[in-house]
Amino acid sequence: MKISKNWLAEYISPLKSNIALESDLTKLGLEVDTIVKNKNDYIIDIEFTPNRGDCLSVYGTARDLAAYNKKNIKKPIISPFTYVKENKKIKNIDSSISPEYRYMELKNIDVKAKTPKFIVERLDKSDIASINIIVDISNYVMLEIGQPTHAFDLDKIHGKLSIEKLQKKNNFIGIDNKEYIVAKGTEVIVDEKNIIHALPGVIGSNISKVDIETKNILFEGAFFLPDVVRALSRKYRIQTDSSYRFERGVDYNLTDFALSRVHYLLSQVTDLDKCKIIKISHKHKLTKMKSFDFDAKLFKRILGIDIGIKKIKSILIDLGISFKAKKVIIPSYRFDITNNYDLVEEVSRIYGFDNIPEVPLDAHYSKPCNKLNINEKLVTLGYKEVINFTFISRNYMKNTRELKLENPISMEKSVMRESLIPGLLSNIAYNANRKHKSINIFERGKTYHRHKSKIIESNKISAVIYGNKASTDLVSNNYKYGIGDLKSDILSILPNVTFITTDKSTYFDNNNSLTLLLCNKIIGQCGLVSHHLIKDFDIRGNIFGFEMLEDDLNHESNVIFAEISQFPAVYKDITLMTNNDNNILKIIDEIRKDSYKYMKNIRIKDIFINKDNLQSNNRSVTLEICLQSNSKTLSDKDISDDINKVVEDLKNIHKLRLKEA
Amino acid sequence: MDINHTDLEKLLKEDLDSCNKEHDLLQIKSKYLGKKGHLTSLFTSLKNINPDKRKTFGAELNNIKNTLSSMIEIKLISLRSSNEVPEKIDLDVPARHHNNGSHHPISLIIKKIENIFLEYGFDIHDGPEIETEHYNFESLNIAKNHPARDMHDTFYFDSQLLLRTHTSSVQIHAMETSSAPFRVLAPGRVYRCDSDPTHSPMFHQIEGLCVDTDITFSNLKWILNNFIKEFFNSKSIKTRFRPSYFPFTEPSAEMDIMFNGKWLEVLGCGMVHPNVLKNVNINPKKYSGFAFGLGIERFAMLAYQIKDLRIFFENDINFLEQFKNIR
Repeated sequence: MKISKNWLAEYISPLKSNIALESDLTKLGLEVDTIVKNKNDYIIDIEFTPNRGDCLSVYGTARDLAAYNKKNIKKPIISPFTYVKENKKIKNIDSSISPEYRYMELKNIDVKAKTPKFIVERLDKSDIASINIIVDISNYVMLEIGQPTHAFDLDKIHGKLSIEKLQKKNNFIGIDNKEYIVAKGTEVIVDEKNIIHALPGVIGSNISKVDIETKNILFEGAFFLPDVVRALSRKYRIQTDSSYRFERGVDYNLTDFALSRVHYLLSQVTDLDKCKIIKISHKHKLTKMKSFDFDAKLFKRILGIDIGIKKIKSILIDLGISFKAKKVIIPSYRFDITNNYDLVEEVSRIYGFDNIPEVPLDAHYSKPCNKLNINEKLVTLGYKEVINFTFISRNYMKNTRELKLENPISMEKSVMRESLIPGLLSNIAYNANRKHKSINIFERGKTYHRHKSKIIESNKISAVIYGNKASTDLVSNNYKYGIGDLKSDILSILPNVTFITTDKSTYFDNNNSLTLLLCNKIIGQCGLVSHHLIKDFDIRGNIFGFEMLEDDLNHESNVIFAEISQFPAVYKDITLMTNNDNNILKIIDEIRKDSYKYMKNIRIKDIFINKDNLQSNNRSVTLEICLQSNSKTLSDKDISDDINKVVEDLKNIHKLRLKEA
Repeated sequence: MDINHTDLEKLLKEDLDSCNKEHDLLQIKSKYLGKKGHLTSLFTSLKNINPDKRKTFGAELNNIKNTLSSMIEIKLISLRSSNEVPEKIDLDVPARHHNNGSHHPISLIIKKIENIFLEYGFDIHDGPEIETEHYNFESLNIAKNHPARDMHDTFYFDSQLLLRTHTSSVQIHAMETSSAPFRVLAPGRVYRCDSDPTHSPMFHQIEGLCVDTDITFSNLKWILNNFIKEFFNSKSIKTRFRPSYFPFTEPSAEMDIMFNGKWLEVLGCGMVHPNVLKNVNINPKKYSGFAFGLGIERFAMLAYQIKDLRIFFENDINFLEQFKNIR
């Protein structure tokens, strides 16, 4: 909110220099955005927190400053007023919309009267345009004391007005010239012909707005309930200076003061009858005097410093709070104060956070965190970490029960990701377009899906490699990343991982993906990223990658030391002639489980594909078998017995052909 | 019979001096110590000696033998070490298969902040990003029609489900799943329906919560001032707390730091609102606590002098690899 410094100085003077004033306001929690010079004045732009409805006026801000500086505050001049019994213009008021409603009738008003210069200027400094004397004074009083008022052209109202829930759906055009369709049951100010004259506290209707033709006026000053105004403002997406204040709570005792202030200002420029106010009042919990037991002990317990009861009381009294026996009585303008914690906040604010000492916390131990640090390992292996948005385009989703945002930023960011792979692919595309030839990146983050009625969030870790193995040297430049590089990196992170073939994958190519097993638990997949997917990103060439569930990697593992044999190990190679259909990984796994007397290990040593021989079985796979005993040096017979058995099994059980020596 | 062992030593020394190959040395060795060597012949002559002199003579021969052997041994070592000059390597060969890995700056800042608060006994917590209105708002004392909801442009899935707008919701999860006292630190992604150079629809926060029987605003000031000093590695950095408003803390404060001569807002904090404690069945008459929340991107921008928020999520390799030096 922008206000004139000179205006502020009318209530509290002398006002400090800009620097001191800014410091005071800041210490009070009234954040100063800017102070800008404007002729012989300054415009102060203050950002108020939503709890401080009481400060949304020049007077309200002055009141808080006065309490802080222990100064008196001047009150604006009002016309003396009387209540009149005769209520000619209001038929019905729903007390759940407005428990306190006031109005005055002003007859034969000269609407063409000129608005005084100081009002026009002050409105302008607060970015409000001058319209006519009536609207200007209404706005001026709102800026001055925080109470929105509204002027209806009395002659445009058919019969009496009611402030109630609309009985029959209707439309109206607001003073903003927009048309609003108002449903039955909506809170409105409506006349006897069902013509809507306002959404209470939010916006008036064009039909009864004050213009040059206006002669007679119904001036409304009301307390509208914050929840009602807020709901209306949200529903119709209208925020006005009025709704902004009502939502945050306007002083329910301010209506008479506001109308008599309007009367006073108007009486300065045009002839007016005496100020007569019609008062319609209903009981409501929000318009009851607030009072509760005072808890003097809470201050030290929350703030950690003994301010002293005398000082505390003095601060609270400066803020308009009074003491009666054990109770405190809260002024009607302080909507935000409802309990002793609120009083602690008030006292700390005025006492000053700077004056509260620093006290160390008692020592305390953190729980040890034994999460596997995969980031560290991947970075050491040369991967760069990326962070992507968790919402992606629907095009990259394979699941039909997607989690779709109701109000996305764009369609490209509308669905929650179920995999990190699409994000990583977009990073490859971005960087490949910028001439990066070797890309290896990873991301750690959540993926989301529905399971029955639940939302499941999984912590995943994914990495992709693309292009040349590195671009630092010629050897690497000529070496394209392959599945072996990916496997090598996976094994570097998780040495106990085993790869098993899989024939179904969402983000990897069905024929070229492997499932990752750790302690017999599936932890993820790896392989060649599906070409359908990378086409969408306009990427050429192969991308290899993995995706794992991070939570499954943190299993407890223990080592039981195995005696180291004192006798030499013997290595024997066997070469098999196979085709691609033979799943060697699976066969090795079965052989490993079988009982051979001295076999310590078996692994694939090399694979060679003879491209000149296009017949079947052109793929030769060399297995290395390690034999060793813990109790003796193996004899030739020991060795050949075991090897022969492996060979027999490969031939007979697994139906594989051996390469003739 | 007599021997002049100094003669033998002298002879050997001459031979050794002229020898510079291991092969030659082996021949010298057999010349003196071999089957047909000088010394061996002396040993064979031992049987012809007077028995009462044989003992002293034998001992003397053994001494000579030891002396000659060690002379040869030393020569061997010196020959071997001088002959083992390895071939010259071309040291200009570039690093092979070398890629610089790097942590994302956001992860680096989270880690840095976590490490500071681990020292203060905080435990790291994780919470869901897809939340209900209850966890994101109501349990944090933000009622349906509360104007504070204006501060949160929320992404919704439906009328109940939303993307959390702050990590404060983790406070509730943490307090629901165990019992006081608490020292909780919760980093994570948060979401606001806003996108421009200074706002990203997704960003990161760290939430801190400390609840015990005697926690005060003084403790809050102490821990946050220390945190800022450690984070910016400066004992003299100026800070200030000023009153603010969050529905879930009271009193509430913003913390500013003096940066390049200007006050700069870095985090929000306050004493946990009694309604929040009540909502998780903690008696506010017995317990009190503080909470704070900070934006990671803000700290990263300060630490690395980054101007545009959007660069964090572009994942440009030229940006990422600038962080290769930081662990």
